[in-house]
Amino acid sequence: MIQRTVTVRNEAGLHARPSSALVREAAKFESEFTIEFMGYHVNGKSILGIMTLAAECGAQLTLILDGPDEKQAADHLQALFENKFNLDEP
Amino acid sequence: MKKPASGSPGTIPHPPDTQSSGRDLQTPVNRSQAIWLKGIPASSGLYKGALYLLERPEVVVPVDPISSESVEEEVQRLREVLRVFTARLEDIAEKQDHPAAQDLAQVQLEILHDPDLRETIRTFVHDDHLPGDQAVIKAFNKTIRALQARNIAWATERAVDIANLRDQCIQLYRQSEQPAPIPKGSVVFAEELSMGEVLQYGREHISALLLRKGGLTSHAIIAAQAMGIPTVAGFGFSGNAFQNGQEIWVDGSTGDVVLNPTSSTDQQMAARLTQQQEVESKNELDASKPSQTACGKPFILRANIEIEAELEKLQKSKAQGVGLLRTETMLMDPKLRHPQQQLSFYRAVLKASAPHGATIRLFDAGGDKIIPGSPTELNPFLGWRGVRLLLDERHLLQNQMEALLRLSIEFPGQVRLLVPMVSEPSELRRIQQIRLEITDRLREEGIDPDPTLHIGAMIEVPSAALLTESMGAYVDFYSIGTNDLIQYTLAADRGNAQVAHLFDSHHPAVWQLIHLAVRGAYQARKPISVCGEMASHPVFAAAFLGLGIRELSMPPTMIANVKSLLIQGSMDQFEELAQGILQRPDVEQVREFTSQWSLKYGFQ
Repeated sequence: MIQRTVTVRNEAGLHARPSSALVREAAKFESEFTIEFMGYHVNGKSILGIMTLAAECGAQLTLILDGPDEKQAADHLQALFENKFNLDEP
Repeated sequence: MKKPASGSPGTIPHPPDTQSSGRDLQTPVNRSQAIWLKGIPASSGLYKGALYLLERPEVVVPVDPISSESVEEEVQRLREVLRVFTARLEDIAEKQDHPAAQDLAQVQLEILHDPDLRETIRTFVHDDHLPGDQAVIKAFNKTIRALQARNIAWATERAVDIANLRDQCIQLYRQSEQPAPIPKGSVVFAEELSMGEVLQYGREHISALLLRKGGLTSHAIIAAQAMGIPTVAGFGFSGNAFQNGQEIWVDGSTGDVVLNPTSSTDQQMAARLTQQQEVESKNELDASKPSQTACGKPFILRANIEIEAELEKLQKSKAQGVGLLRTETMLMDPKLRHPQQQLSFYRAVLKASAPHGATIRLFDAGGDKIIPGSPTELNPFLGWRGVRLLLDERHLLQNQMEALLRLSIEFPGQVRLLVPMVSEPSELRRIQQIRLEITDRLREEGIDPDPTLHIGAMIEVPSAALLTESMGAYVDFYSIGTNDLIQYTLAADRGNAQVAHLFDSHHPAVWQLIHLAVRGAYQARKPISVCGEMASHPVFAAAFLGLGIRELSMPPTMIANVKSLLIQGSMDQFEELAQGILQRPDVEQVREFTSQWSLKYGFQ
């Protein structure tokens, strides 16, 4: 099991579009993916779960990955947060 | 034509042809005699065919657990519903050119694929034995509540979108029920039907219709009229006396229903058919005459339309376009909520209405009708409906307004937009504000909506009738909705048998309010029309002209009747009628005066 701490860099927070991008990428990996935020744990492959966190810009989340490809998944998903989910936002 | 003899209610019929108007015809039927029964005429036409009794298990709305045997079937059905829905969304997503719209469609697809959501739904069905629609509502609502609790603008907006997805899902689920197989050419006898069912079976299967319930404004009847299905409503006989396959005549123009017709019944009906065809050809002749009074004053008669199938009647009645397009039916069909789907419906209506144009009323529905699971209101008529609901449920309003603004380019000067249930001028100001916002957004896309698109207010709440003039600051026209105006003015619900008699269009207060609204409109220099049921009553239509109203809208089948009076009379006569009504102090005197007026000038 791997844990990584990431920061939401998107100005509008982890709203619908970044959440959508996140689950799409997460689905590419076999490992189980949980996100922890302020004591809440949600399934990182569930867009509704992620959206209900309503994490704002600057929020620190913990990504928890568990499975055969956990290392690649963690690297890939962490980079996604760094790159603001490759969304060019106003 | 021989008139059938009348019998006492519910008794054994007497030979040769007898009539009964009882509510409980339970007696065994004598095979050799025709039995005349009576209901309320609802959609004209004559038809003889084999009876089909459409009995259905009662629809249970409260949460009743499903049996363990049907759990797997229910899970399968839900899986299929979600598959169909996904395919539909993928289709919509593909058609989006705008990246933002593509993203939105993508988000919706992700939500449908959400593993947690699917598992929650499955668990509700599998473990808690909830019926599929209840499982969907509960699973979605969990997320919706969580998002709403976050108190962040985007989360609240998403909650609205997710609620919309939920509603579409439920609609699809409910549509996935298998319809009963009705043989072709049947005379269907049912408690009541939905509009969807009438449209789905069509005239081929439902060749005539008997409804135990169903007010004349029920959607099933509107659909039956549009499709030319002879219909008798309020046919309260118990089904026990009837048998599947029995021969039966239905006369939708008179409300006559004849069981076990004999050869003499058949002859009689054939004579009626000829007579009805003669009336029809006279109506067609009147329809082609110019719309002006005997003294040469022009007036405009438009049609009230609700579904695409009615457009054929629009041409036939020679209506000058559509004076009221009811759009809330589309809300019952979730795929039509999308702007693209709405567009094609509106386009068909506007094409058929050209060059006169169409007055399109924004969705006029109550909360529980379009948002399943919304709290039941103690007093829905005084509740969350019309413009009140639209200003809260912005996605509905925006989608509809966007569709109409886009269309205004194709049909310049022909799109009129009508706001329902206005009770306060500021509601109209907010509607105009939203129109500006959408116009600006469309301009950024390079689309320039027609700046002359007219927005009008429904005058159906007494407060609106009293404030007609001040509303002129925000609208280009007014339209009086008489049904609601009567019910709100007289505080009487027509559907409530205890007080239905108080609902009376002869009431002086109703006429005073209409008069006030007309004067207000005149002060504001904006036109005013009537699109309510009173307009289809020829004598009232004449009184409206006498009050200074120039435009009336009514069901297309009523136009010929109204027109035939209006072209015979003169403005002097109509003004005498209007002034006379306004001077009468009570219901009975108004009623008496109007019938004397008709007699005096020989109008029936």
